[in-house]
Amino acid sequence: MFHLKLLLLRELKSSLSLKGSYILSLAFFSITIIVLPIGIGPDKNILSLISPGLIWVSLILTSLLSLNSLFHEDYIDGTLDLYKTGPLSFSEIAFVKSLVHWISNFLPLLFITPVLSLLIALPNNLLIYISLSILIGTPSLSFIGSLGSALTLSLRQHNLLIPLIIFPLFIPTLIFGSGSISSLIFSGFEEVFIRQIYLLTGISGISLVICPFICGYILDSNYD
Amino acid sequence: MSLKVSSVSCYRSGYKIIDNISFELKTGKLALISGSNGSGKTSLLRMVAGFIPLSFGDISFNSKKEYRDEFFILGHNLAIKDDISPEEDIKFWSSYLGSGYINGVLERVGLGKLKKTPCKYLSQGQKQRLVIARLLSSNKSLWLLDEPSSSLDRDASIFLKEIINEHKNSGGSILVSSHIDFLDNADIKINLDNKNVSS
Repeated sequence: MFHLKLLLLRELKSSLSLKGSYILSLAFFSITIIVLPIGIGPDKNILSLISPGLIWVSLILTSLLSLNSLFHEDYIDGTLDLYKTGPLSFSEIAFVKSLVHWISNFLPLLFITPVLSLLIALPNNLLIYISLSILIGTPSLSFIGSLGSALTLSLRQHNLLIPLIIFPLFIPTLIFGSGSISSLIFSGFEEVFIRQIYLLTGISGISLVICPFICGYILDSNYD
Repeated sequence: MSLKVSSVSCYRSGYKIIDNISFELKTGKLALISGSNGSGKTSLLRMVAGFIPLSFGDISFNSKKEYRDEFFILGHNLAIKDDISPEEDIKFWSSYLGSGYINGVLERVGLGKLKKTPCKYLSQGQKQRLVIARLLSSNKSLWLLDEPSSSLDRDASIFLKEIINEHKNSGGSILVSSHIDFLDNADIKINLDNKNVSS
């Protein structure tokens, strides 16, 4: 537990430094949400029609942007060599790194989403539900995404391969994430929303438990 | 207590990297791996560390196949992050690798005045000194050193030789790769160019 905490603090400090990817994630997510309505036009009906999908596609693209460096930087600079000789297994390291990826890349987005939601004509009274959907759904993006990062560890073209490998695995999160927001906008049924949130919780929970083990196995067998 | 490398061969992408190398490194002994560029020095060290799978043969340390917490490896890539200081670096790695922080270790390697400076401002030689500080704090019996003197100046190379001898005399084992013969007191010499192992 001591080593997990030690690694978590180091990774958090590194991720939340000025050089960390969270600034890039914040900027990318904001620009995607801001630019699209400019291209589509000010029609509120069209904007509210596409906004649930837009939010979740932007979240997925944002995650892909930062997943490139999840293990690759540590592999290139030799940090993974030292981690491998330490007390934690690659599964534990993958768990910590995925958790830190979520904290540094998705938690800050929760604070700007209410502001950005106004730009895409989402009703004010739904902002809390949208934030809840993001809070519960996005851990799956970090934990499932770590698999792509581990699979492409030693490949030069890892930037291009991660989206190809991981995007299909994000589809359930995309469906239930955007579905949860759509259910409130178009049908107004909280019951449907809650069902979608349960499904998102299931996906995030399963990925949180299973992905670090698969990731650890991939890293062990992919390491040289 | 010994490192046993028995008939080890390694093929990667169809190419033979290491061909049938055997040696035994006992406690308090130093082995020097030499050879020209591309002869497999780094690969052999990484095989001993368990980072590269063996194609044939067997490696054990104290009769154990799994010994990842019993050695410290100093490789080509120094695992140094730009934004942290040498003091933060040494505190993290000495706690993470289980030995605990040793007061004055940065002063000993000549980084006392730079201990709070972000590592991005250190020269390659100073970064290598930081890794030597990690080595000193590691408290591991087996040291695997890959070209440890490559970026060091004369004084630092002499210091490195001293700490290698200290470790050897205190019962540690050292496996060093170098393309230059910077150690003259090796107990075992492994030449990968002609596959010759001499004691």
